[in-house]
Amino acid sequence: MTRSDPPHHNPGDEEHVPDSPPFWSFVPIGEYQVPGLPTTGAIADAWASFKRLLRKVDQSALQPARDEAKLRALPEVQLEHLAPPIDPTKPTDALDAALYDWLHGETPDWPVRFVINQPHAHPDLLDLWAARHGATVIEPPTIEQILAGDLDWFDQWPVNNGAGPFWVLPQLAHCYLRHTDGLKLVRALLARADAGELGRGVIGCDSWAWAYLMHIWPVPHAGALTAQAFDGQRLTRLLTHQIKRRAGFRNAKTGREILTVPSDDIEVHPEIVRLAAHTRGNPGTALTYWRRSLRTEPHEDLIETTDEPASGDVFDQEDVWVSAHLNEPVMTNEVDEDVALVLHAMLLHDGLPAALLPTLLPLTHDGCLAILLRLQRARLVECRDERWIVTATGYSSVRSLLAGRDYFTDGF
Amino acid sequence: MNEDLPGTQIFREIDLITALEIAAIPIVATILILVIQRALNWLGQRLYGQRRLTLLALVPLLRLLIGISAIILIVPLVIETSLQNMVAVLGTVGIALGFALKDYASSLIAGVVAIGEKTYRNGDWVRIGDHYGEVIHVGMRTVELVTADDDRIVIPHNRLWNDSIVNSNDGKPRLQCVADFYLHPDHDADLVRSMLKDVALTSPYLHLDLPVMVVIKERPWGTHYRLKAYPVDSAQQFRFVTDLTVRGKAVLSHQGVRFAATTAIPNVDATA
Repeated sequence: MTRSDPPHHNPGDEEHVPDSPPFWSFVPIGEYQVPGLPTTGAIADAWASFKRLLRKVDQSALQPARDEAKLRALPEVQLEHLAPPIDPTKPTDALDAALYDWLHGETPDWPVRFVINQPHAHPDLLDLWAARHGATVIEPPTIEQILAGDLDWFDQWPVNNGAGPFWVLPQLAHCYLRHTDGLKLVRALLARADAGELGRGVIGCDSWAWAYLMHIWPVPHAGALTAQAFDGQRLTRLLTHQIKRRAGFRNAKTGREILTVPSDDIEVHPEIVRLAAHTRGNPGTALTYWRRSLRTEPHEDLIETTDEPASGDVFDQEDVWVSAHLNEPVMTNEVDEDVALVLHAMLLHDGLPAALLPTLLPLTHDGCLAILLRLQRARLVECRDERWIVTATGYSSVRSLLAGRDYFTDGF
Repeated sequence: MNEDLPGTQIFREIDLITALEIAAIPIVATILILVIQRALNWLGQRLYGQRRLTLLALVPLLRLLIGISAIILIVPLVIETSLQNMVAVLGTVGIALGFALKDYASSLIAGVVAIGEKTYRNGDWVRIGDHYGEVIHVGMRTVELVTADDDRIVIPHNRLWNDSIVNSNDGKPRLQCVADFYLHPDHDADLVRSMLKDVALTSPYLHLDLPVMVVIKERPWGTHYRLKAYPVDSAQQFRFVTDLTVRGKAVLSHQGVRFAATTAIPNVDATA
């Protein structure tokens, strides 16, 4: 088996079209290539940004086109068939391939490998990967442990001298706080991990937290991996490979076909390229946009959808309409500085409990709560597992806002 | 007899059309200047970082160009353009301004120099004499600052000739801020230095791509720490320094570091 061949956990999944790029691949973070935008798409985006700057929000971008007004969002049952969530085995296979030499080498170059993921890109990847390899999953420290710099947290590490089972820490972003008392533990962790004192392990980290931690612990990590960006071609495969029936996705405004299943994988529609560029190659946010943009005729949601075709292998193509506009919350340029601080803190920590915000920011508890509720109503943030995070559809707007104001951003 | 000689007539005969043209040019130029000023200032307030500063810096430059263009268009309508005539008229105007409006003319020329040499531009944070504030307008005769207390200060450009101008960001969005800490000399300086660095690194206002420095100087009354770092935006400088000071004091107190208690430096002359 070579490094480029993933382990065969499910032989049926290993078929690849010749000359097409691997569907998922993990590369050193320096090799991440943000997908480009077609010229027309770039002009349209620039014009939309300019209008937003002038506070003249493009109403046509917020409301469905006239024809689309008659269409309805796809029912959940149909969504599960036509735009299912990311199959986690694919990125896990790809990570296996990328870490194969390290996993099976007797004297690996690095005792610890880092896997960097963008927000919403492939959640739970390392948990699944750890389960597959029987690795010990390290739980992140509590807030109290972080603030106290409690080194007892390291007691949960398995005794490992490089030969036994290794460990996985899926959420490095949850192991620190941007607070004067919140850095001691993560510095100790990175120092011990890089020195090999903790044995062999894999650490997962959110891209924003990683970018910040590289300022706190400025040691080069050339072996850090990330999933390569989903350009138009990869995104086409991501959106089509799990659909088990013939389907056609058409632009609701023009009627032109954007995607077909089965896909020929050769021609990529400009709208898919534009979606890939808009989401900067992030598969999780791209899929969320795609799911939100699917539309159906009003009567179709009454038809029961079954898992299997009624008879035979050949059946009629199902037509699905795709909204002509990206259905995302829009941030005006008038957002005040406190809002930017809250959003930035949430991204740097991969989500934060509301109670922690006043500890990390020069804002009052009430002020933070008011900002969170405003952002929640604007669909820019949501509360998940008691942590406030930026939503998948709000992420692009938030990132643009912070980058435009010169706030520190991730490297993607 | 001399009246018939070519070249002795300085001014053109002005008919109605020419008079209208002469009147229209400054009116159009003024409208153009006002529109550009308002539009660029309005747009500049909606941008951040380098784009904002570049746009705002264009305002005085464009105004100067429009003003010069208007003069270039008007002069041939009024004066017979020849070298002698131009020397005569400009010389006369120059002498008149030099005697009657010396300071005004000096400020005008200093204004042109300030625009050309980019001594200060809109959006810069400058100190002129005792005044520190953000440049909000570079006029023909004066520069306007807004201080941290929201006071508007108008300063003639001719201060340029004799005073030093301190420009804290020089057309860039980055501006170094300093938070001072005065500590009792009995402490672990290395520990304090690393704590203060963390205070800066954990400030939400910090621009992380620029260095954080701690400069230490031993004084007769204790140790003076200067924590130097850059905020994300120059407009955040006061909030940034406040944040560094508040959190710096908290972390130092928590570690049991005592602050210098001397109320004033003894006056050497008085004690001698």
